Amino acid sequence: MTSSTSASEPLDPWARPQPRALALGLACAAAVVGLMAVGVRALADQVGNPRAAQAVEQVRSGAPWIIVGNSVAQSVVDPARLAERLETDAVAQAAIDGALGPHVAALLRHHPPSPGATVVVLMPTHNLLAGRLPSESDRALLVELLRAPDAPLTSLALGGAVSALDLWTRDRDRARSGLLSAVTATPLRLVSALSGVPVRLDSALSELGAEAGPIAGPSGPLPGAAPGRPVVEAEELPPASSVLPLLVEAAEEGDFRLVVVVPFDRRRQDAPCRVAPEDEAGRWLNEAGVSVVDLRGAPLDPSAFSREFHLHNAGRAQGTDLLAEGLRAVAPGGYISGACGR
Amino acid sequence: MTFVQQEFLVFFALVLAITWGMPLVGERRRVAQNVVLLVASAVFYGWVEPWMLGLLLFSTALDYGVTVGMARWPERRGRLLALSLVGNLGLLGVFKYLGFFVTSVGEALTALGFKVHWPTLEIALPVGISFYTFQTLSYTLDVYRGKLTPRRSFLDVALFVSFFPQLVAGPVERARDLLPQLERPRQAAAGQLASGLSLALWGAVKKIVVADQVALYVDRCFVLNEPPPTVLFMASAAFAVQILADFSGYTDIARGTARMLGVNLTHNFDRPYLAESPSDFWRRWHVSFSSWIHEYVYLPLCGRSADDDGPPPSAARRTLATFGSLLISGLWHGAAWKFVLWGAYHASLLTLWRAVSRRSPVSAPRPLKIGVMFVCTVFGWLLFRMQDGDTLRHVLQTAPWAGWSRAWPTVYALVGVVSVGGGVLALGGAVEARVSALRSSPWRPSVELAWWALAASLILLMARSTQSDFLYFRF
Repeated sequence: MTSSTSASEPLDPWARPQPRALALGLACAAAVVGLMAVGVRALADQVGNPRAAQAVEQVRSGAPWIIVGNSVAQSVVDPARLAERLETDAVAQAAIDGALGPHVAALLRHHPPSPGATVVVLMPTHNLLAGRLPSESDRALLVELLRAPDAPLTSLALGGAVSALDLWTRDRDRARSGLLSAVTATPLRLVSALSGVPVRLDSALSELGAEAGPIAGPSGPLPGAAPGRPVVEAEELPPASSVLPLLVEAAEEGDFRLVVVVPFDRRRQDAPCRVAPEDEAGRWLNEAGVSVVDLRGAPLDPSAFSREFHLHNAGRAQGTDLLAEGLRAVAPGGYISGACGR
Repeated sequence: MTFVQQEFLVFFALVLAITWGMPLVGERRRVAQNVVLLVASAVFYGWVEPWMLGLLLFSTALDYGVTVGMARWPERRGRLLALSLVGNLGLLGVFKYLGFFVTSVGEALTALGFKVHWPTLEIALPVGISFYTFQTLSYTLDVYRGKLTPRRSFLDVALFVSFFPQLVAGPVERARDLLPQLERPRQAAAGQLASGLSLALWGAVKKIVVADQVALYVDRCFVLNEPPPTVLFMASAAFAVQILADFSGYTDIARGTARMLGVNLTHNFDRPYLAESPSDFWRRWHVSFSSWIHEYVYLPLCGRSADDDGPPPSAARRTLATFGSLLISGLWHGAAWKFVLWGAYHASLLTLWRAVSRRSPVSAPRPLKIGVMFVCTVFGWLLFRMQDGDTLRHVLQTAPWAGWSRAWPTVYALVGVVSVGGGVLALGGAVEARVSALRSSPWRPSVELAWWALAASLILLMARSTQSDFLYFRF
């Protein structure tokens, strides 16, 4: 581009645009944006967030025992083995990777399980007591789980009501997820129709040894985040100001039994017993009539851990057995502890 | 900083406003614009790792000094060129290849029975070092050959080396194309700004709407432990879509932003998967780099120069030059044996193609040639993308259809990914070409406004919360 314009150079229609052309262009642009917004909304109504949808499906499955939590619960619990140990029909696994306390509260308040079910909340206590959600994906997941305005929960977790931006993010995530699913589902649907065998890509990949979970999950953890732990830690609230009262309220209203499990903790295996935030939360829960199973000092082989709270696949069986022992022993409102007994 | 970060939007808007808004005229305006662009380039490049600016400055100063020296002492041109080659390639060698070299020698000695315990060298790879090293070398080589007069303005040379739109992932510009543009006064033109924006948005669509989404599936498949070969091959086809969308997307953003700043950069991709032969592929893929390799490596290895009309080299010498230049090309992409293997594979394809095409009495139909070349290219991408040598060993030792009963759902799903990803690239490319072909039509603003709205909406819809880097940043 030079300062001079030669006679042979084409005229620049942007230099002096025709008003009609500009008006038409702006109208077209507005139409494109409008169509896109309507399309996103319509698509979002048909598609759910896969992470949230799977958890909701499990909570509503009618199983008598339901495990709720985050990736720690996923790494600790083998649902089939737990069902066997508890001598029950089924254990539903409704843990959501990356979930924090407000997500669990949203799940149980807005999608309550069948009356009489036992809901086991298993996540590190600092995750359970989390207040304001630290990241966009955490916020999106919470909005995804809400079915109606929930002022007590959203003021605690979002600092106010659900914003228009939150709703747009939710719809956008759903629409994107729906589009991506359609890309892979369409050829699979064709093949399934021909072969008569229904197929899903995530299950097919799992069979090949891939990590479980939806591929196009829109609200995955942020870069660098270990599963279940956001990059920016959420602020930990005192038990009475956290989601615990909301969980208790949900259990009372939904007529289900709540058990909170403090997970195995590699750091606490050899540590001397001391008062920790977990203890404060445990006391508060006991006083509210909620059973607590404290697995921190349980006799778990140290080699079972993959991280602080997470277990290896190989350690999951032992972890599940110890959890089953605790769950069988705990009386309503009781407290079962590991080494750090009280 | 990368083009798809939110910070870049603010940064670029500022640079654009200052570049075109300065109340100066003539040469003073040009110099001021170049100063602004140089400072902006330093901010862009040093945003995360400021120390890397030191290497960039070293390369720039070295080649500036060497070329000025060539003008002053023509009889010492050879030695000065050697100094530039040693300095630039030495830097590249230390930061990119030393760790690989040490590890490889250690492994070789261990394999021979020696007990070697060398420490593993953890040297950070400066972003874009392969690109700017080749770019600055082209300046010195052209001055050495007398094709270019050495510049006295350090500012212009420094801006040529570090011009931020193409600094970290190309196109690899030649001094004879880019420098004259930086030495001319530049004025804002609305049409240029608009077409630059159209191109940059199309680049962002390719990256965010196609490459980043396809990557979700490709990454899942390439971490599988001993996957069925059919899955790997289809994942490689998906990777072919991903890498084209990613790299050509980067190039389009680079060309678009540069155009908005009044600079035209080289066209880097010409529908590479429509190539009919290996040589055709290299005329279409990463054109700025492959033409660099052709001019500064392949032709010298053949004993010729770009202007040489002499007799063609012997078949043996051409083969040697082909392997030499493509092995260097492979190694340029990364310090790993898989890239060497990828280069050797393409060299073999080229050599084989030359032998077959010379003897073949009939020409195959074009769609067949394109199809065969695409399959060959995809196998090349498998070598390029595989995690390690075990993957290749597994593929070669396993029957192609092995594990089909478990593999087919994934394969069919990947067919969907490749079809839709490739379709979006083809359709979007055609639309963008139509839009840019409008040039002086009075309806161009209408079409461009609608195109911007569509592109921006698609980007907003499909952007991932965890944006991945451009693939070629690693090189």
